[in-house]
Amino acid sequence: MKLHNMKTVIAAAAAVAMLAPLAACGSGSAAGDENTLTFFANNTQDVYQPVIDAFEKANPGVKVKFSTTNGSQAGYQQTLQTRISGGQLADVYVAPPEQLNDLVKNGVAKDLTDESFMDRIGDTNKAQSTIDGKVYSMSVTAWTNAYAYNKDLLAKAGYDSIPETWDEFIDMLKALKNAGVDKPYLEPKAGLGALVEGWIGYDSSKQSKSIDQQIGDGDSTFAKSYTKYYKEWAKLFDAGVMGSEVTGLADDQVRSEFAAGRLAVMPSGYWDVNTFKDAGINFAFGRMPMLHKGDTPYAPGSADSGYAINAKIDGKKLENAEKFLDFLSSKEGLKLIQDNIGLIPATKNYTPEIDKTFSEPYDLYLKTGHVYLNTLGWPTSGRSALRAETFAQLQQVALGSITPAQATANLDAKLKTLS
Amino acid sequence: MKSGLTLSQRERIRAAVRSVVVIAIALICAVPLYVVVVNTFKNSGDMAADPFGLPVHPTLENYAYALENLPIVQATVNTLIVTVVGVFFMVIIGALAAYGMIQKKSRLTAGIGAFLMLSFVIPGQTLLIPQYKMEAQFGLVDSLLGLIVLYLGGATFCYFLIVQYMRGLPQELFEAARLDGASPLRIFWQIVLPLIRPILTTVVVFETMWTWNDFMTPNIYISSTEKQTLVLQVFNAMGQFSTNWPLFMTITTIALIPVFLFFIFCQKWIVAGLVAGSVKG
Amino acid sequence: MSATQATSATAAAIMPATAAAGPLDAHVVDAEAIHLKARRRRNLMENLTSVKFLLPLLAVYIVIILIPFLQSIVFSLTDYDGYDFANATFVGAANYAAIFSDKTLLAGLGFTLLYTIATTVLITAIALPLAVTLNRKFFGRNFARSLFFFFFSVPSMAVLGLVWQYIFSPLGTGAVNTLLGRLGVSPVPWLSDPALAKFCVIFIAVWAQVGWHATLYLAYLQAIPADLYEQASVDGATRGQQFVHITLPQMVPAMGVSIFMLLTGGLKVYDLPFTLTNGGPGNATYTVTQSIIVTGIGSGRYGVGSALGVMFFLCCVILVALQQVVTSLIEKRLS
Repeated sequence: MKLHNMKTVIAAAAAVAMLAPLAACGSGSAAGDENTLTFFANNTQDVYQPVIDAFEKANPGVKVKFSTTNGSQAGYQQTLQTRISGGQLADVYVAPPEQLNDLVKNGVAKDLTDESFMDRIGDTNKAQSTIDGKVYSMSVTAWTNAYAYNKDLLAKAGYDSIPETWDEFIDMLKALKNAGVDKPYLEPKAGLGALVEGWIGYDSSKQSKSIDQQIGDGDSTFAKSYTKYYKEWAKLFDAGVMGSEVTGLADDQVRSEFAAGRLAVMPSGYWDVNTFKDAGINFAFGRMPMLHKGDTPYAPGSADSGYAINAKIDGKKLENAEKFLDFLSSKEGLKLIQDNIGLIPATKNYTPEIDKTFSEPYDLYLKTGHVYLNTLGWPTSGRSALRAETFAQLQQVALGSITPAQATANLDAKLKTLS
Repeated sequence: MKSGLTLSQRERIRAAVRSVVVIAIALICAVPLYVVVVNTFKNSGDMAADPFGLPVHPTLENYAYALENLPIVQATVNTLIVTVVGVFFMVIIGALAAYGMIQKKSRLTAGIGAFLMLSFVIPGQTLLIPQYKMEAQFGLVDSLLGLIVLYLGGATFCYFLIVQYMRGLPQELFEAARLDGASPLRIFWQIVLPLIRPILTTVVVFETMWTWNDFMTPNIYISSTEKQTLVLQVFNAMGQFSTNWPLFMTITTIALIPVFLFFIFCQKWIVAGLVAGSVKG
Repeated sequence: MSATQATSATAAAIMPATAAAGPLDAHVVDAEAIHLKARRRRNLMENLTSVKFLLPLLAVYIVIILIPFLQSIVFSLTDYDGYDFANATFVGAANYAAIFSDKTLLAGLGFTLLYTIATTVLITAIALPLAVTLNRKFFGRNFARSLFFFFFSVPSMAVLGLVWQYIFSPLGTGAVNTLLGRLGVSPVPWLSDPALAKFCVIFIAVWAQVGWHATLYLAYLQAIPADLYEQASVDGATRGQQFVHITLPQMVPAMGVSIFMLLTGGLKVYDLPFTLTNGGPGNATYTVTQSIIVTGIGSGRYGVGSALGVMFFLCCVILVALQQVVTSLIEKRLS
């Protein structure tokens, strides 16, 4: 007996000895030295590296330690949350607007209101990072949806751009179909009804409180305010220009159809420019039609996630973090962000050069700030679940299993379970 | 019974049919793998235009990019350390427990057995934050050791497969050795481990692939570039709004190559050599 | 080892039920002759030796799985948002009440059960004959074995989800629809029809797992002594009879293992439907685990997510206990 015990002990000791060097090569980095700034972002290292290199060159002695995670929104948010729960937050990090409330509540986002670099940030971007009158993140870029269209296919039906109103747009799709374009228009399953947000955005701009804010505050319901928009959207199916197959198509398939030159129009954004150029098709980005003639054009869009400073750092480290944000919002930083990360700067101090295929949506939406995102009005803790639910409901409308009115009623029911 | 010749002829025809059918099924099953590999030789535009066809303008730019810009060597070493150490301890801990379990049947061991089974029905997603907090407390986040410790959780899986297999084996084999006066640990090394080689192989290969390919755990736990595992290199293909799929698939393929080599080297042992022959005597 | 030993060994192997459930095996019966006190002592010693070998696993299990799970039970009684637990407050059973008021959850439960049962039945029905075939001699056997083991090892579900989305695309340009198109069949709405989407998810799950389960069966097949078959051949039993009377009974323990893995894995399924259909169209392929993530953890409602996890755990325990009872009943009948 004794002997085996000894053996077990020795084996265990050997195991620990083997693992010890591994432990040494890990951990302990969280504290770090005061001239190393940790930075956690939602994009790839190679796109951020030029920005970081330029910053390090402008600020000798300061090193930025970059880390990232799964680029998709949900993956980033999950990782950020988990790291905060374990007290492992980076010094500077990208703060998604969906999470900002929780970040502030948990005291991990520093108040940036009085920082000098915040003067460069426009009101739209500031508003999205503001909680109780204080600004907690610096958002320097913005995004918008737009319709990507294939010029050659549109020409077959005698069109050279996207028409202004929804009815005209549907007529165009019908004409395309008659001209032999089998798939005139497709929306991805997780982006159904994208342009509904543009319509709501315009109607909201005429009221003191946005329609979604009213729903979030309980002053209105989805059934009351959304049904008419969903009915308009469902015309796509009534007119036979889009079929229920969209409920099984992800972004990538829709993009493939467009890149292969088979699809005439799809909802898209600035991020697709290079893929479409590589594919060698004749394309441009255009407006998203409004419901009535004369409506101010609005599109789904918002400020991008901002950069936040960990509220728990101080001294030299904080100084460096502030320098970093200052650099990101400088003309040099913004140009690097646009060229490498592909985001569109939306600040007061810099006018970006936009790829000419994207100039129409840029002028219509980003220059004017006429973008709208419905989730921003909803209660923060249920936003992503509710957004997923809107797509699930619209898919059922697309399949013809429920009416737009039932869809909005179901959304109200879901909202109730979330609050 | 037919004559010997007809029988062997029939057997030969049967074998031929088996070859054709099984290999055909295997190849059809491998179609997704083909899609992954073929797209590594395209750019995003070409892939979007035709995800299945052979590349129109074959390019090695994805591989060149990955090999030039990504810390492939460092990441491979990290993954190797984590996989080898992790799988070794997982399997040993699991096999030891399985052996302990079949040594004695009592209320106590039956209770422990049922208790261990619970781990199969605990949804992993809810463990995410508690596990992370625990590792953070011990300073194990962002370290390879931290990953290994988490992977040890897979030992219950190894235990379960091995103990079920052992129960199917003739218990007299252990009994005989015990009567010879061999110590339990010696019986374990010299008799039990060789006996359970088929299931050990299955478990080792499975755990190796699982650990090697795991994305979830290092994604949450590893933040330093120099500690990243191979699979994490796919980050370099995932932008905020869109993913560079050809590059993504290239990195996936590169990550598969070592597993593939492992497979080739161990093939005799894994597939052909599964026949340990221990029971057949 | 001699042939006689091997045959008696087989006799024991054929009766796995006694091994699994029967508390009395040979040496305990022998021990009846020994003095009661000595027997108790021996019992204790053996228990201790047993437990000693179990200790490392118990330690790992308790630290890595059990304690975190107990913590999440605590979370389920609070409004924890997943950031700093110090800010959470106790809310009692409110999270559990919230779960039962959510309709989408029921849809998730339905598909999760369908998925679990369908994959378990189909994979078992395919993997077992496949393993038997792979265990026979034929040209290219090793190649086929390797392929089955290897092809499902493509690491990232993200990649697989993408590839399968192109294969089962409801458009005429999808891979399957292109093939069907050549045969003159019009495009099938694979992923955009609730019933077909369910089929596709299950099909891919079977594809992804059948190789591994076949390998598991293969390992057990190797343990069947060859002389059993030789003896049967001499006695004039056909291949079919040998399969029914030797292979199947010998495979019962393996099936128990495989089915247990399939059931527990099936109930916890998340990756595949999430990347392939994202729960759609509508809620057709929504799973319970997806709701733990979407309505709970991913929405900053870690308390609700944990409550979902706990409820789910309880349901699984009941289901798996049922499976265990059924398996041991079958084993008893077969032996």
